[in-house]
Amino acid sequence: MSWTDEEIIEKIQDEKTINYGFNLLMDKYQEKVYWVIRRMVIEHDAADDIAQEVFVKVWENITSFRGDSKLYTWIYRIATNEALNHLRKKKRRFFIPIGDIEHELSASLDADIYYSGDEIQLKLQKAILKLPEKQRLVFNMKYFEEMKFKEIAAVMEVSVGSLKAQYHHAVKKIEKFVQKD
Amino acid sequence: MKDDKGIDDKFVRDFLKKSSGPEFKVPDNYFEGFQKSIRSKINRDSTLWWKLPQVKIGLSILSSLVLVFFIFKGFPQKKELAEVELNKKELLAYFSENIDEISELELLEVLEDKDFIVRVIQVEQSDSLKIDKKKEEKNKVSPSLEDFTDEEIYEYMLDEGYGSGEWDNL
Repeated sequence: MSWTDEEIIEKIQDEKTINYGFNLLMDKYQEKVYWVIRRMVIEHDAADDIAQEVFVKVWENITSFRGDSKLYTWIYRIATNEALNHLRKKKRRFFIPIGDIEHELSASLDADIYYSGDEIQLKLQKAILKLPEKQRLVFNMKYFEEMKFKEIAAVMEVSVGSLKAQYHHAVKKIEKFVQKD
Repeated sequence: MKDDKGIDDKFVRDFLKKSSGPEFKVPDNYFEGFQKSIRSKINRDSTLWWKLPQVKIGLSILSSLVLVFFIFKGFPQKKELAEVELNKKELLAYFSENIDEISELELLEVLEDKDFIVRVIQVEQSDSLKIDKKKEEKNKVSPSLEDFTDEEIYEYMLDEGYGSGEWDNL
């Protein structure tokens, strides 16, 4: 049985069923959250740490979740913020210039034992890594997670119009990069 | 595929059609054990006393009281040099340990704070003064002949038996 967000929140708000409700929430979102993060940070270990941190934050704040936004929007927002924060920290920790994070992540892609893409997939991933962080996030959520623009706009708190423009630019850049070689 | 009013990502889709198999993988049974890891993390966190809501509330009340106290009493105007016991090594250690917590803006502020740099230099100078004093004290332990007058030297020699013939054998 697939539970709706409203049903999950109802379970969580009841003290007797809070743990059950949280398990349902994790069942529904753990993979989605993991993949959004993984495509951003590339390495499995980092994605695992961040995904766990996301659900700990969800647990700590779930009782004060008032439903101003939808549950999935709220969870995705925490996940994307955590992933972007991780990348920022990485840049600061290793004094990586903004443009060079792409080289770092490309190297992680080559070294990650949990990446087994063929040459074509690797080429596409490296093209995606050339995009600015937020454009990359938009592309991943739209193309791989197949989210609607409206949903992504709610997560990133931007207008649908600007998202469409970002996605369009992202696709064009990827096309250009792939055709170049 | 045309999506929401004509954004064409057909190129990417066609390009990916040429590939086969998965790209990103996860360890075996990763998602089966995921919930367990989160549960244990949550349980561990809930046993940490500083994460208890009562402690958090208590600390925020305490910090508000301290803030109110300073607002009414006024903040101390000057800091004595002795209060700022920083040296270059400690500073570097602090920055490298807490680099994640410090924003670029804060770092810039610290670098622009001339008083702060002056204080660091002063502390370094006072450190080197201490070293000089120590050197002086060390030197005092083994005085040279120049520190004594001829009379003192002569008196010392008499005390030690000069003129009694013992020194003639030397």
